Amino acid sequence: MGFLISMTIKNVSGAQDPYYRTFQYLFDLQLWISIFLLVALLITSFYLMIKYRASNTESKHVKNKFHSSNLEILWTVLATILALWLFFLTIGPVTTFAKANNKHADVIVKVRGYQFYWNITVGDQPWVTGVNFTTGAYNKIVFDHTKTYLLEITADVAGVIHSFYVPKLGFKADAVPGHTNYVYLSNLVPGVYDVTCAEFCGAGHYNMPARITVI
Amino acid sequence: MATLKRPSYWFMDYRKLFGTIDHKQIGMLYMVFAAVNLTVAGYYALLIRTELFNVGLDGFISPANYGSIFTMHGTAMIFLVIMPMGAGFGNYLIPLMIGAKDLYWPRWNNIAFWMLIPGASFVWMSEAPIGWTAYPPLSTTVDSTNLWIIGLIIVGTSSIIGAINFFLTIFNLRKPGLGMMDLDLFSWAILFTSFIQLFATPIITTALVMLLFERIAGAPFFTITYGSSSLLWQHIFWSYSHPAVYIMILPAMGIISVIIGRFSQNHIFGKSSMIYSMGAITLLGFMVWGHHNFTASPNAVPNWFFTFTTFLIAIPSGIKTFNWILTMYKGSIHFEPPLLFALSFILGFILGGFSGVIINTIPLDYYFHDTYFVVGHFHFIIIGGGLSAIIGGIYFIFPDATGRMYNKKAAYVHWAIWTVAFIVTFGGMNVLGYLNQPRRYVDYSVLSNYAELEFWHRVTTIGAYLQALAFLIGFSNLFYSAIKGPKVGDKPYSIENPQFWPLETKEESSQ
Ligand SMILES: [Cu+2]
Ligand SMILES: [Cu+2]
Repeated sequence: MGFLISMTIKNVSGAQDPYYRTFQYLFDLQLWISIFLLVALLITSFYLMIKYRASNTESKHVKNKFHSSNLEILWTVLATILALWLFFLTIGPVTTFAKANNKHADVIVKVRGYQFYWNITVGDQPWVTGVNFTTGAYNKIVFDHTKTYLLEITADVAGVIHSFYVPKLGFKADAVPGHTNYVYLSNLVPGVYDVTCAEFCGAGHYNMPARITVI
Repeated sequence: MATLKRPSYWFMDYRKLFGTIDHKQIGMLYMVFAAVNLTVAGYYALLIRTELFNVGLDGFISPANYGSIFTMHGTAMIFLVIMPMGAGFGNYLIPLMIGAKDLYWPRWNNIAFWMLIPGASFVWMSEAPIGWTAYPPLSTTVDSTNLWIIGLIIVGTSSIIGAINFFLTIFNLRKPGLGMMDLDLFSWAILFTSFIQLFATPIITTALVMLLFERIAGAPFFTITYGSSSLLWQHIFWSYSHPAVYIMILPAMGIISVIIGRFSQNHIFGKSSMIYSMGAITLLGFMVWGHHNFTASPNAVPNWFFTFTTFLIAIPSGIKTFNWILTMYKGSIHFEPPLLFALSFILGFILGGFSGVIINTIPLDYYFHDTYFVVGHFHFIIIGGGLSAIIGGIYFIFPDATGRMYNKKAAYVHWAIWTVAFIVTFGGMNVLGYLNQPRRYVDYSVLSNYAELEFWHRVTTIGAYLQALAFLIGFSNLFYSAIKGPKVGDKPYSIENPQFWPLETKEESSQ
């Protein structure tokens, strides 16, 4: 029980961190729970399969009425606790993510998806596309790690849905025509971050990259 | 009639073929229909995997055609393979399970099957590059989507007719004395499946008609310039398409419940909790659709609601898994091919279940949504789980359907290759998702980690080809054995009741 509580507190206090840290923490946790349960189920199954294989049982035609309500209640309760706990862990991060546009940010970043490129403007800078079409090189989209950013993500009103996906910052947000999604970024770690489109938008869907450099 | 020389197989006579009202024959027609579509849709999957084997556009598939290919693969696997397979098993088995002579409406049954042919033809001919989810505004602008919509409306209507038929049959034609709680788990599974088909399919039909009206008459249901939102489609679509997942998986659960009980020579552990779990899955299945839209509009309150209901579904799913495993306790386990495929179902269901819990955790969904992780997740459930159960079921009823026995050694080889292959393929997809490979990419050279992606794409492609090999072995075994296999009596397996249906029911229905 103490383990559960400490895990929960750690997560809530870490809610101000970049989303990727929340992602890594929750993913590792669930991966280990999954591996533990998988091994337990496999061991149980193989034990039963070997112990009760037909060549090892006296009667070939048993009709066993074995039943245990206690066992059923036990695992129903355990499964319910696990499910509720996993739900509880998501409350903090979900609230933080959803409240993005209530926060004050140093710089507003406007992101707009087109078929098949991104138009991005950071603060007062003019629009840049993710890729320079004549040279094929990535246009510089530079974020300062000491500042906070509010991303306003939408798509060409006459166009289709895209999704602005920055995996190593731990988020994606759909770029929907006529609808704006907000993402608040703080405590950025310097580095180069891939941006791709994650919602199928037509033949060029695979080819709308951009790169964010955090300095 | 006696003077007419009859062909040796009933389906060689076109009047019998198109006019049959026999539930077993219609059941087999459904399965053959699904197998043909599986062959084509599987071939499309191999095209996709071949293109992705090497990084870069190698000209094997153009970006424009790639959209058509994965859309047809997805649409066909869902609506023309897995769902008709469930209907096929229901047709073949339900009357035998409940001691009825046939379904309640034999002629409607015939019509429901033959409606699939024009429906499927329209879907295949459309080749619409919109994704099986058909999100507007993309699906309102792409050519040939009309044909896809009309095809799916026909297929959906067929599915509603089938559902009503199963309802009427199970409620009205049970043999005297067979109460609802005495029903086996397969009949319960088909009953719940029919419930979902009956109440969810009208939703997708409505959505498809709205989309069609927008396309051909300019009705502004999903167009932003008229003040409506394309997000409306996502909600209507998924409020059908999540329940539809259970249309695909519940019959498979019913099949393996019977198989595991039979080949363990045991009663299913916790039968009533199995029924309640299926009921809970059916009802909760209607309340979780928003987990497909966490990134579309990340508002906290709806996201909490949908992630909560989805976590709840993990509970009955877990209970069912424990019950299946515990059914082997104190049994006498006969490792015949049907049981091995049923055990593979459990493995696929567990692996897909864990990744399902992971992507339902919203901060993880912000990372994994629309990546290969999701693709790996549902393929583990529907193919590693669902299709394994269907193959096991086909091996189980094959001796009864054809009067002949298949080659068991080849069936073991089929099972071994198949199980390894699906773990490699879909496990590889999960890794690709973790390495942030988005879905529906014809090429991944724009991602800076393309080198490691290429390695895992190759693993996945090899797995897919192994699946094709397993499928080839199984298919040729069954095809050859149906014509030339050794004749088999009532005892194809060494177990006490070597048929899918209960002993008592069969005696009564064969009188
Ligand atoms: Cu895009
Ligand atoms: Cu769903």
